[in-house]
Amino acid sequence: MQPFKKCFFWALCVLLSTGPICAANDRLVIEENQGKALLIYNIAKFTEWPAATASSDTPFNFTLWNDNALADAFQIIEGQEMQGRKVKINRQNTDSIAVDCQVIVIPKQQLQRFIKARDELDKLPILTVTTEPNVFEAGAMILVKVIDDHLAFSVNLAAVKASGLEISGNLLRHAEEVKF
Amino acid sequence: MLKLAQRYKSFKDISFYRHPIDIVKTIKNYLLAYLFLAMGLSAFGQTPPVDLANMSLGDLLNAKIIRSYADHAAFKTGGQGAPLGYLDSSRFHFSTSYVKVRFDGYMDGTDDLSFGEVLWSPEDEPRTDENFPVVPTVITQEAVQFKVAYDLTEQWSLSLSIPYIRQETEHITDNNNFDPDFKDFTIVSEGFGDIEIGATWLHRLNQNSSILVNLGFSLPTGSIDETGDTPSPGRDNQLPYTMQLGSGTYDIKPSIVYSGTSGDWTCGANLNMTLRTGKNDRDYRLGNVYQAGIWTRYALTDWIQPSFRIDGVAWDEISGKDPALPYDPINDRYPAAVVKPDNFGGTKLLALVGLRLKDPRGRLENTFLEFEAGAPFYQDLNGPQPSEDWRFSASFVLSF
Repeated sequence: MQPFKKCFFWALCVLLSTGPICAANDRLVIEENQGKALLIYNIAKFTEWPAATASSDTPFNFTLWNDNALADAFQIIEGQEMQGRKVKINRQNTDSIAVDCQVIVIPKQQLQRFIKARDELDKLPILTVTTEPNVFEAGAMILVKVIDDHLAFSVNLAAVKASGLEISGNLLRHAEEVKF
Repeated sequence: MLKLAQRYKSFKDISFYRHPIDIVKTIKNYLLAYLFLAMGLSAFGQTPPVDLANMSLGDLLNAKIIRSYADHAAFKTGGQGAPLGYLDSSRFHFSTSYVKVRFDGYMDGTDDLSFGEVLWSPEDEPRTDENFPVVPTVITQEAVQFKVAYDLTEQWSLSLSIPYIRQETEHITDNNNFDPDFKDFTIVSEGFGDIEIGATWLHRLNQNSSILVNLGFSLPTGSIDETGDTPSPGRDNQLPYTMQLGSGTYDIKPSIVYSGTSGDWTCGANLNMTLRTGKNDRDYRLGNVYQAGIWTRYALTDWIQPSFRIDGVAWDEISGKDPALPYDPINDRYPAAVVKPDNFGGTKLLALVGLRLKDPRGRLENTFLEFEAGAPFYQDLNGPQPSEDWRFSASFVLSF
């Protein structure tokens, strides 16, 4: 074998053989928005809504404010079952508040809109989840974020309880921060 | 003359079958390489694809999060078809690619020429601009390119690529006017080519599409002083432009790539240019190169993705002339088409099919092996000029 071909051949072999080594690092890889959608879906699984809020034949509604990229990622859970109901994803790009939903997802650059809606939202059994720390500080119940290369979340338990919702202790022990 | 022409028309076939042992060895090497690949992929293949919607909270919190679309490493490391996004945690992307291009036959404009038509036989015909006493027949160019990219930020990355090149040209000459040693002869050049550094900016248009702009600079590290035994007087003569390993100039290489996904389909388009600056130490400048392509890839399964690509390439003739190459200034004649600066440049359209193999479990999202092969279906060359017969490439992209 000529030196050039020999060099290429062995370089290829070494590189291909790194595949199993990389595979040993067994972490699932997920795109950020998809990961956030799945985490919010999981958090909702560990949340209890007041019993009288809806019947089993109505959809379980996730409403997303002004973030089409995140809303696209939520398609992965559309149609899944949540507490005996089918998950439905709603996009809301107007300033009105969707009262007929169980979870509202508040993306970045929506702080002013959240502050305006906050008083009304506080009276409703709606889980407010955000990806923006300022919105969490302003009173949203859950903050979902990426730290380094993994997902994490914080819980504002006082806000959760004030709206009549219950969050499982099994969820809280995974939280990075719980505000009481 | 007719007999000579007929003989050279069949030269292609003779040269192809001349070394059956080499062909068997090559096949054996690729089979061995495939075996390594199969070993690697078999390690990936033992876990079925994950049902993301039903992942446990623990698995989800343990998952590695990437801030990107699916194939972004291919984008940054220049995988063929160059697709997508940003890897927050995998900042290093390494790729190596092997490319082989074979030229066989001649064209002048869009007309095919036989070797007999290009070869000048003094007894039979006058010397013109269209015939030459020495005719390169089969030119084989091989390159292995090693490339490393590093993500500075979410949008910016830097890259460095180093090519290693091997070129081989077979020649024929007129029997009666050359030393018998040069009745037919082969010359080879081999070594590192021009190193390229680049900066890349990624702009995400929406969830499913993005644009990547790259500005590369090619440094004149490849040799333009390659020598070998040719029919010219003396030994170690300067080899033609086609046998040199670098351009000898600082070249600017801008490119822009659009990529979008829709369901199982990924489509894209790209524009690339190579703009030469100044002249090299041998007083010539290779022509600028302009390339545009469109491509599509279909995810047949999670890990097998066939692709199809159409590429258009236009390149200019050489400006200036290497004074060390043979030339008859009195009659303005060159001994071979590959030493005549005007006989470079042209346009061609290529069709290529490819196959990308990824980790079946989806865990090495930005690592893949890709093969691509194709041929020109249209060529318009400033000729007589050697015409491309076919090309093949294999790329491996690894992110860590």
